[in-house]
Amino acid sequence: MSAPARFAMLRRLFEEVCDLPVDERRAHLAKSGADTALAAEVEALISSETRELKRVVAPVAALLHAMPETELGVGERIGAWRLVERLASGGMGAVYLAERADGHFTQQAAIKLLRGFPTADALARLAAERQMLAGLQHPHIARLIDGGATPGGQPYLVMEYVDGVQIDRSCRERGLDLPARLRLFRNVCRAVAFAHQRLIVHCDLKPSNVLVRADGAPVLLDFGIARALDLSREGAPGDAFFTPGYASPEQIDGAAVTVASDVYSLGLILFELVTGRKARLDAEDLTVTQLGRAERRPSELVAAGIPWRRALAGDLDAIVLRATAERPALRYASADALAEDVERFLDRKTVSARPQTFLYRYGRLVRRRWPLFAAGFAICTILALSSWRIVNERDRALAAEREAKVQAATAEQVSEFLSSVFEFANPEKNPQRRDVSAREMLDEGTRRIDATLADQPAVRARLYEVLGRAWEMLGQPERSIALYRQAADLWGSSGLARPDARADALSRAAVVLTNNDRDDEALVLAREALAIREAQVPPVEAELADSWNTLALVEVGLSQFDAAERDFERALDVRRRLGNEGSIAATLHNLGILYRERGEVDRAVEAFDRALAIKRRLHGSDKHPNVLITLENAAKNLSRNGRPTEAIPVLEHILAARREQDGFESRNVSLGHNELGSVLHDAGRFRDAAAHYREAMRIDLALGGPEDAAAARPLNNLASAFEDMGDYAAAEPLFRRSLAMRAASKTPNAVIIARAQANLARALLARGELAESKTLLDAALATRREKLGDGNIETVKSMLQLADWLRRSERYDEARRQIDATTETGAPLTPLFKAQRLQLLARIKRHGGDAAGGLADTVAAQEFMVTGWGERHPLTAAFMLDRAEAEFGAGNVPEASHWLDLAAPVLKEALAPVAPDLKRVAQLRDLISGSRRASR
Amino acid sequence: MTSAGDVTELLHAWRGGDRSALERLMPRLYDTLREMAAVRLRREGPVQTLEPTALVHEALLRLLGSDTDWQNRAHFLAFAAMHMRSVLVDHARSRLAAKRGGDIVLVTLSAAEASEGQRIELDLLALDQALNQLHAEDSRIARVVEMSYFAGMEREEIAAVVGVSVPTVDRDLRFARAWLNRVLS
Repeated sequence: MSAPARFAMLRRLFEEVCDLPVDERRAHLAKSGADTALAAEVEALISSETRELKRVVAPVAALLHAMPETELGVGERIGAWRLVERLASGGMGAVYLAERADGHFTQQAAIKLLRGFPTADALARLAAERQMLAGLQHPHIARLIDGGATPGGQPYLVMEYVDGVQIDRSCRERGLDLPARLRLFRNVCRAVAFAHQRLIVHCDLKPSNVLVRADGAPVLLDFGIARALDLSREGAPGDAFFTPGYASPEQIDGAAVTVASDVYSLGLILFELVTGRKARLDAEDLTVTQLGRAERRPSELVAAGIPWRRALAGDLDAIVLRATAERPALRYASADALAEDVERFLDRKTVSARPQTFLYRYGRLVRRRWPLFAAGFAICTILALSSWRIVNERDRALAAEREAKVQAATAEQVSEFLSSVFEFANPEKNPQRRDVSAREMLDEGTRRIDATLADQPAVRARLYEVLGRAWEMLGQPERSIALYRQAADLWGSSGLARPDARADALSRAAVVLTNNDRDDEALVLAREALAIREAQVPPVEAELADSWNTLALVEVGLSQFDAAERDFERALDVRRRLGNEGSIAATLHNLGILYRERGEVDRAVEAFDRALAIKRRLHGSDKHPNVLITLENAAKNLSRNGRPTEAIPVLEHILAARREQDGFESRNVSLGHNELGSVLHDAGRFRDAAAHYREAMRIDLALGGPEDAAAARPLNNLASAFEDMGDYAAAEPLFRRSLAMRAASKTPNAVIIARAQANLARALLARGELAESKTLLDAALATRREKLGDGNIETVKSMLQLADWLRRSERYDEARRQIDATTETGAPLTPLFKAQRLQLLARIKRHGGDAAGGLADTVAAQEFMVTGWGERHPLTAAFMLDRAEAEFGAGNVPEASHWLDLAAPVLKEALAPVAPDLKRVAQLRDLISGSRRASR
Repeated sequence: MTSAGDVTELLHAWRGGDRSALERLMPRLYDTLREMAAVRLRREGPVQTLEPTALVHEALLRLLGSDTDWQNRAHFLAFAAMHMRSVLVDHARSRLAAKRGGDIVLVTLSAAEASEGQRIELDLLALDQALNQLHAEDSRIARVVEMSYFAGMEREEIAAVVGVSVPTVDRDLRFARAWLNRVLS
């Protein structure tokens, strides 16, 4: 055997035998065909393993200690218990039969071990719940004996072990008649009611959770959380764990779980006991739905061989239908009320369920008196260890407030548990407590989903969404998009077939995509989501509104402003009608962006203000990410409209808040730098702006690699800052790189590419590179004409750029005609544009010898700049320099000197030393002092 | 550009396949670690302590700053582990060559051992040799050990750098521990 092969075999054998007992180890080695020397070496390694490595032991020990415990198996001990037999297992954990290992006395128990995320937080909550459940002492409820965590930190519960047969089988096997079955069922109801009175809801009642002991007593237990999960999802035919579900419609919808949900499940159990058939024969069986709508009666559905069909007709039909009503408000108000009606039936009294007209009124009564019921029966479903859970005070208040809409979606118990673990890392949920390890935890969570939940597609999909959201909020769009797409794929797979959920995931992905300038990809997803939702019968208005809102956002990204406005308005109408304040604020915010992009400043200000007012009220903090994003956009609006100094402190606040929340280099922080840079840029603080752009670039490149598309934005801005500083040599290569990145994008956006072309063309023109400049200029103008139309400011800017190119090419007449053409477009023009146009015109006039005409235009241009940008702005100062030159040319030396003195310090402060304008300052100063000396 | 930005960029370039970035990164890292080790040894009294893991993390802070991306951090530490080992070995060699006696330098691989007060230069060189031997047999296991022992890297970080699963890292470490124990005993 070669040396490497021998080493590989040594390693393989070591791993195979290192955990075996001595005898088995020797047997295995003997069988393995290893020669004596190799076998001896394996043995030596194993004995070395138990010795401590002298110099390097501590890190190793720490490392080994940090390793998660290998899963416990039969024969091993947990606390005072030894695992005897594995009873059941699922994705989330396993249930073992156990017996006391301390030998003092024999006692059996069922131990439920959770595979999951044993954070300190989760353990603390578990301990609290254990205490609550330990207080639940009832002869028909399996007791919670003990609980804790294994040395490896894996939590477990020790429950009373019940030796019994599941209730439906028990009835069948023991040949119980109808009254006997009903009495048994009544006892089950009483036990559930007992728990309800102690604020505990079962949430996963089904025949397999109700055992009947040899003495005929029923006992409620809560095995099988993993099953409960699949059941509640109505999912996955062919899935190993799939059995018919007993969850209520609201649980299946993932909405509210209440006492009424337990009543529903009890109703289905009753149905099965009295008809002798399963409520759901297979996934396609509509019986349960029909029962829920009182379209069929149990007496019509009795299994062959059940002799009491006629006894069901009437009262028992009414009892089952009432218990299993689709609308929670129409069901029995409590398990006790159900038990009572069953008892009345047994006593041949009139049952309360009977008169159908009363049903509605009773439902109304329940609704009216819900706070009372809620106070009595608040919710408790356990985290993920069993199907019990405790609800906190806030939830109780909510329960009282919105009839039965308590926030415990048992249909997604496990995912809720995991969500809660993950949500603490979500700054949107928890802006105050930003844990630095959140990111690692999310990484770990993302990794574990596939491994731990391979057989739980619904939970996996849900978790992808939760993680997608968290990464989105943490400013990691790539990971977020990928996770949303995975979720959408799963929801759309034949196993789950949840088009509604697929549409939701697609819509979320579209929003992240458009926020990252990937509008073409976003458009595809947004449209698919809308199509799915439009095809839903009946359509859900809130979802349609979401789709319109998303589509409109993408349309803004694609500069299709009119379509965007129409879709936003549609979304806003629906959202106003539905009264969801958070989503109203979101659409108002988006409308603000649309108005701003369309140049409608005041409408934008108004929309942002209204969105802010709602968001501040909802979130109560100026640091909440939702508030920050609107603040940011409002600041951008101010800044673009000549009020940058008002925007700067707002953006500084935003950047600080985001660094605090994200705690590492994130897209949000890079965006914050970019935005702050833009505003400083607008304010004329070019150097400060450049520093922030650089930081944004650095973060983007660190996050996304050298080809990162997001980096193109700060890169372009940095180039533009250099341009404004008059350092065209520095600007040009950056503009080139920006253009290359935009063009190389997986999803090139023609309008953005045109902008990059125009920018590069400008820098080239300033450097006198006429030929290359012209090619780019023409390309940008053509694209803008085609995509944006002649009336768009960007198109008009391109036209003026062409005029400047003509002037520099000394084609003055054509240049003038081109300038005139820009006045006929009807586009809303900015002060800077008007000033630049006049400046160009003035230069042409001065070149033609019309000094007076040139001076007049220069004066007018300067006025536009002073109104639009203020007197102290470097861009205004550049026009003052023009003015000074024009005055000097017209022979007004004191005037020239006055404007030069105003402009020079501002320009010196803002511009790069190489800036041509500074040379002009120096030249003019020489000329002025020369003329003064001459005149003296 | 700041030096943190520089190092980040070099790491990044290296991850993106630019081998020359590694060559530019190495000397800076080695110098920083050696300088820090030297300062540490001067500053502390006659019995000196070197904790490689602490040093490496300090170097990380110094060169990369505190808000480092997880991936960059892991790759940085992987380099640092390699260099820490050579810094320590160089140091031990020079100590043995100088044969000055007197003050004892403790190069501990954990703070807990600082009190034992043994000379460990030889042990360190033995470990170094053992690691070289292991490297010849299976270079990945040797790298994994290096990252774990000399930079205190988490299993997840090691897994990410080496490109294997966490359980594989665990198995590598378990085997390496037994193997090194045997070779060194």
